[in-house]
Amino acid sequence: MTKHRIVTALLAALTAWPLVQLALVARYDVSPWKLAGWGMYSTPRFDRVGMEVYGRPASGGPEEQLASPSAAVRDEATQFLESYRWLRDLAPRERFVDAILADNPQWDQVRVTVFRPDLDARTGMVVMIRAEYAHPRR
Amino acid sequence: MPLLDDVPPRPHTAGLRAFELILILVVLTEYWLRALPKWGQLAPAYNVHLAAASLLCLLALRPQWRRAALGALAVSHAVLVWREFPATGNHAYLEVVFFLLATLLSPDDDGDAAIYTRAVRWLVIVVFFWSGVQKLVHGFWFDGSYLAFSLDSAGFRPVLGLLIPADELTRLATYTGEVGDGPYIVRSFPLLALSNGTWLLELALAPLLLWPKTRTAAALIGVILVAAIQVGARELFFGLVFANAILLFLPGTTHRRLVLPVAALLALMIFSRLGALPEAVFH
Repeated sequence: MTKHRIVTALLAALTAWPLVQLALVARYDVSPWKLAGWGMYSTPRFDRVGMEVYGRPASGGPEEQLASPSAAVRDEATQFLESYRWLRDLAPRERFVDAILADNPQWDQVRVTVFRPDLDARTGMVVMIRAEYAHPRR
Repeated sequence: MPLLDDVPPRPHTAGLRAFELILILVVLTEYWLRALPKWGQLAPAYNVHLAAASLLCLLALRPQWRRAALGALAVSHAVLVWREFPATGNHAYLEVVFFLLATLLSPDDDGDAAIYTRAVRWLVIVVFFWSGVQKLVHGFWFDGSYLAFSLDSAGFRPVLGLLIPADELTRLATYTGEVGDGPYIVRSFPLLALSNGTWLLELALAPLLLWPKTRTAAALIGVILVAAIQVGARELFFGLVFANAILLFLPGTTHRRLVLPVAALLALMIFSRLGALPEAVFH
């Protein structure tokens, strides 16, 4: 009987989970392909992701672009982009941002711009999607 | 859940044993195929997973070690899924769940076997249903734009190309998926019928697999549908894991008789990856 209950609970959770996954897709732009929502092949899949990073000087003045990141920042950037590819707005950014701010003590805020191609369902055209994340120094 | 039982009832042990054997062979092959082209470049942690999975898969084939080995395999595989999250393929989640069911339930106990069979069958229905819903919700299958976009894929191109008039095919062939390309919208009736028929069929398979009178036909159609999508996309491992689960709907000894052909297919994939056979691209 206990086994029956465990299996029933497991199946109930797996049956309802795709609703949660759909909500994550709608709210946080998570890729429909992942997270066991069974949305593989429901949307075209683009693997390309690009990124630019800007810092705001604490002393004021215009933002500066991060042009030559250190090896530590590049490693964190790679991990962030791999995660971003699927999780989008839910991809953890803290370690990446902390690494940038550690390398650039003159900045009090980091702005990360991520861009990726996508197929627009309404027009059928390939468009560029941009997302921006601003992180003040904690 | 009793809706998923056979009418009249029949024993499940042989089918479940075949299901477990195919699952173990597929997972073992998957671990090794990921390792074979990258010797020396693998993360040390993957080598540990590979060694553990190899040992546990072999132990799971021995009756006295079956439950403990499958339980350890479920944990080891879940850890790998966690380490590779979020890039984890959806079939890996299915594999973990199947290993958990196999740990909890014995194919040799009539009560367990009935629950085990119902559980795997229910998961098949869940995957088909939500797969159809996802295609419906995101909208790329209404206007055929997903399939038009997939013309760029070598696996889909030979078949999809036959369904599109020459002028539309020429237009779509100029697109490379770059920003500004499109529209990936087609007027070809055969392609639109295939596109809309696919999600409709996935949704329809859920009740058709529940109803005993249509179950066998629905299972066969399901296997064909999965094979068509997975061969086109060359995602063979999802196809193998999922088709193995669909086979639990079939009566008789079909599942057991497919163990050797599946083992032969997996051997061919290994030989292809080793270079002993012509290279075949699959994921």
